[in-house]
Amino acid sequence: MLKRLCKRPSALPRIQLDDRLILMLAGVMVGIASGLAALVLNRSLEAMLEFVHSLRGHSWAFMLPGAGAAASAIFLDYIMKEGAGHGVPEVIYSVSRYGGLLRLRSSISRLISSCLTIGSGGSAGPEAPVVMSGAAIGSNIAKLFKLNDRQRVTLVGCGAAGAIASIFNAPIAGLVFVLEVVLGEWSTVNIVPVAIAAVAGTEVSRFFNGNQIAFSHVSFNIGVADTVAAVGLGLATAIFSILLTRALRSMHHVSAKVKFPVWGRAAIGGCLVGLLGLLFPDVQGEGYHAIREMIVGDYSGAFQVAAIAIFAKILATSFTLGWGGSGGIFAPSLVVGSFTGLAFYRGVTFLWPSIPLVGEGCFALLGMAGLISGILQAPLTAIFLIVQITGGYEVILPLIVVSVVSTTISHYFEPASFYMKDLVDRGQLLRPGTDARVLNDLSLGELIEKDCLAVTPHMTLREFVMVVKRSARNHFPVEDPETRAFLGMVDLNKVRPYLFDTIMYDAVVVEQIMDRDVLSIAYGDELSHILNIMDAKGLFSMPLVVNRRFVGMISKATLLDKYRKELMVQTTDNP
Amino acid sequence: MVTDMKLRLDELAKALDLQRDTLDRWIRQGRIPVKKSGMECSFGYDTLKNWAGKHNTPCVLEVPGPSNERPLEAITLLGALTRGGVVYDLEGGDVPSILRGITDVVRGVADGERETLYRLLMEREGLVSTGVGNGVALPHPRTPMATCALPAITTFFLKHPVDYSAVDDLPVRVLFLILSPDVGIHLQLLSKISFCVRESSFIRFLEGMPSEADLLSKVAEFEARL
Amino acid sequence: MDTQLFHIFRNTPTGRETFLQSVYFCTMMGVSPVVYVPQHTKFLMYFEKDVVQVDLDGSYLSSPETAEKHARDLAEAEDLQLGFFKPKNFTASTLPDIPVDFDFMCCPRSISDLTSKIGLGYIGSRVRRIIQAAHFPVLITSPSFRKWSSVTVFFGGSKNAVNALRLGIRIARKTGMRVRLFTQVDGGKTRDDYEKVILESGLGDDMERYVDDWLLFFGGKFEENLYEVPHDSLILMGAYGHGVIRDILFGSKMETIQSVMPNNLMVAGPHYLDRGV
Repeated sequence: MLKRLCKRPSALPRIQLDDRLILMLAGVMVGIASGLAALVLNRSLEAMLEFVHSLRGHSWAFMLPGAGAAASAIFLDYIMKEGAGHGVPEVIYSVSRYGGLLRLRSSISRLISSCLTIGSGGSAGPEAPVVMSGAAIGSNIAKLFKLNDRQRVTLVGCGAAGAIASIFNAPIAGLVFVLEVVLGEWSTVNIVPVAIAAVAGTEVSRFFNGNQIAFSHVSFNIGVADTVAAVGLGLATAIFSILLTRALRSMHHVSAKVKFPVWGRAAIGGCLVGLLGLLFPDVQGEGYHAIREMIVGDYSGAFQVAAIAIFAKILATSFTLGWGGSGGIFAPSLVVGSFTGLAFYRGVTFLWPSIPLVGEGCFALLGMAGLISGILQAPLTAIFLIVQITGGYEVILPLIVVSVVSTTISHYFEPASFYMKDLVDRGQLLRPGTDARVLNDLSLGELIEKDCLAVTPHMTLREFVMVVKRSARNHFPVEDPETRAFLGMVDLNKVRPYLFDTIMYDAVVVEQIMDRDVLSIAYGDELSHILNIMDAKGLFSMPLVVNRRFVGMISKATLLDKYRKELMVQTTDNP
Repeated sequence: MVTDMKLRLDELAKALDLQRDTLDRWIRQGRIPVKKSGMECSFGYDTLKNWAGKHNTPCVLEVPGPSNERPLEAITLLGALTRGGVVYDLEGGDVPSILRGITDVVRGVADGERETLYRLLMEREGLVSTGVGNGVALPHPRTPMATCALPAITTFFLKHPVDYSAVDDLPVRVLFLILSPDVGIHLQLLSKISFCVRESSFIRFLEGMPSEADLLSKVAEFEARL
Repeated sequence: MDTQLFHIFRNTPTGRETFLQSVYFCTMMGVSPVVYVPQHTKFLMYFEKDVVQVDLDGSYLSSPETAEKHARDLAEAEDLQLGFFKPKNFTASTLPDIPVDFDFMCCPRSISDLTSKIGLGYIGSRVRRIIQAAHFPVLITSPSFRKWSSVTVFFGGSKNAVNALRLGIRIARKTGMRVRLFTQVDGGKTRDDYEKVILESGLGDDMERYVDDWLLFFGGKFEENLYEVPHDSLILMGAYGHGVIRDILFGSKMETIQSVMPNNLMVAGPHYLDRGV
């Protein structure tokens, strides 16, 4: 049998390199690469923190975070020449506008700069840099294979998923994070490769770190009281999410007023964190260590200490990120969340000691979910992340309650999540299949109708009627016979009565019936802007005029036709 | 079976009734199963056909092979008049008898159809007279004749002028019977012949009861002016 | 009719020379210039399959208050309508995105920061990446403003050389100038081989109408043969395609031309597309 097959190789089932298969294979590659990136960052962070820890004793230790932040700003700005930022919004921006094109340098720049910031004691998270780096790896692998936009976006998602999956050892959290936050689109074309990448990323982390769950697994015995208390915790976490978001934002504005070079600002912020760290050592670094303590129930501070620690962490994070340090918001949110959960638990048990609550470790976890839901407004990511890092489903009920309450309330005060706020403000969050996306993708060149016949101002009505006979359209641009400059328009609807009046044929010239102040469009006008004008003025079409020359008409009728096609093409899965 | 095809981008854009820019962008964004290489693009015929069906897009693509397209003949008045021919000295004293006479001699109508044609013409005259004035009438059925493959106009010169209840109440001497396969062609011919019979020089020419060859050359001359 | 040339304005005397060159090109070709007065030293260009970051040097940011006026004065002296480009999209707050749907782009011999320190005459790696990715050709100006009155196409028979020839015919059609071909014959090729390439590209008729001279060199050093190219001719050439080794070769040839020739240079890349047709 085997011999026969070997003799006739054509009888073997031919593996066809179909597009999906390519995507899956590339997904594995990207997942492994971004998993490795996450691992490298994690390892070097640990090493650096250990080294910095040994310097704690010195009186100048508080300046370390300043030096680190300054070094990371110098690295990003002068060596990598990359605008600062924490990465995830840039990935979302590129995904929604440019088919996920990212610079190659982005795949390492954030890794190193965030390592400098966090490793030296700045309060920031390594997740966003790793996501950025994974996404950039995905994008550039897609470039290597000459894939199209859609496939490239999927690979960008693969990179981000692999990174999150690897750093938390949580494949589903990676998958859900990518679909909910980065891509904003749940389609089978995306889910399969992204899931594969998440698995690959997790496997990388398990291969090197063993199958250890990021935060150790403690089993909880959840009762009804906990679920009810979760509502209160949801409220508390929502408040702190809003507080953290606003603190970061206002700190940005404050630091922008200081006329210092970027690295100088970063140094100031870092030193302030260092000073804060003298009082609360837990606010420094990415804070995983503090979280571990809290989940196990080893945290020694009293209620008051935990409550103040929340504010300290928020302050430290906004000093670090708002003043130009490099890193993400994910880990600080987890820390703030766990402090909130802990403080909430201690507060409740202090006031009503008789209520049988499960334990402060569990509430720390719930608080983390609440903060992630509130800041990212991604409840599913929060739920799956906590379920996976605790390795059990016991907490699922209060978890859902906390996430939902926190998301809802935060959404009320901050309509856009932290990552999207800037994009939404600039009107650049273009999720697939939305109105904004369709209008953004359609260009004026695709909509323009060039079959209008031009007339001159000195034409008599009789000559004009002859032109009308030949034309298929209702609008006639009037052009100067010599310079071909655009002078105005004749709208058939407005002059219809005269057209049937033969007496006027030789008495009236085009100049007398044309509109002189016609609203026109220029190249580069946004389609949504044009539509707004049309709606406001009750117009159905507008002329496109470039360099005083008439180019064509943009009409609502054609737009609807193209809009519908575009929407169909965007929202159906392609093979 | 998958037939792989190669086309230039602008050809494909035309086949799909898309703007070239749109096609370019869709290929780039991976929204259409077409691969691009330089100015050309390749695709599976069936895949693309299937895609077009799903996306409400026309897809007028020829499967590679000999094309069997028949060049469309332009609709001319001259052609229609030539096909219809001229009948002289048609007998008849009133509208029904004349229409009966017309349907009996007109060319290109099967014998079984003549009765139907007569009925259709009578129906049309019942609506409003087709006498357009100046002694001319343009009888025609309201709906196109299914059996008529090519448009034809038959010219009839009457033996005696007949009261046709024309718009100007003048008796009619000449009739043009218009038969066409569809409404569009019918309107085109009607508009062209109306143009001719509005001209007084043409009317005077008709009064001289010209020969078929003279009539055709005169019409050709008029049609050139249109 | 609505073709546009993109120019990054540098408000310095050298920048003025470059801009005058753009203005001259625009008047000759009936193209409207679009000027970008940078406010940040970095910008991104998102092409179809690549994103290119360009780092300008600090001189591009000098005296921004007079920049627009200077540019407008220079253009109006030639009776040209000038458009100013204001970036609308930002990847990061100091990193604007520049659209890529222009028909031409003008670059001084180097617009990148690092390379300018290596040597003024060097064509920057960024410019090269732009040429590789863009559908528009890039006008690489001579150090100081000079007019041109004929077009010379460097035709080596490759696909990109055909693009350069297309571009040359496009310019000839607009300006009424004559096209001259320059070929350094390599291998055992004959004139017929090159003509075959032109005919196969469907350029036979245009070739007859617009090309009136063909400098074919069957021997001699490339650099020495370049002397035959008139000093007032716009040089058109195609960039080589992909591949590292060919990139190096491409670099050396283009680098040779631009170091030997003071002429203006226009390079068409593999994705060159004439949107006017």
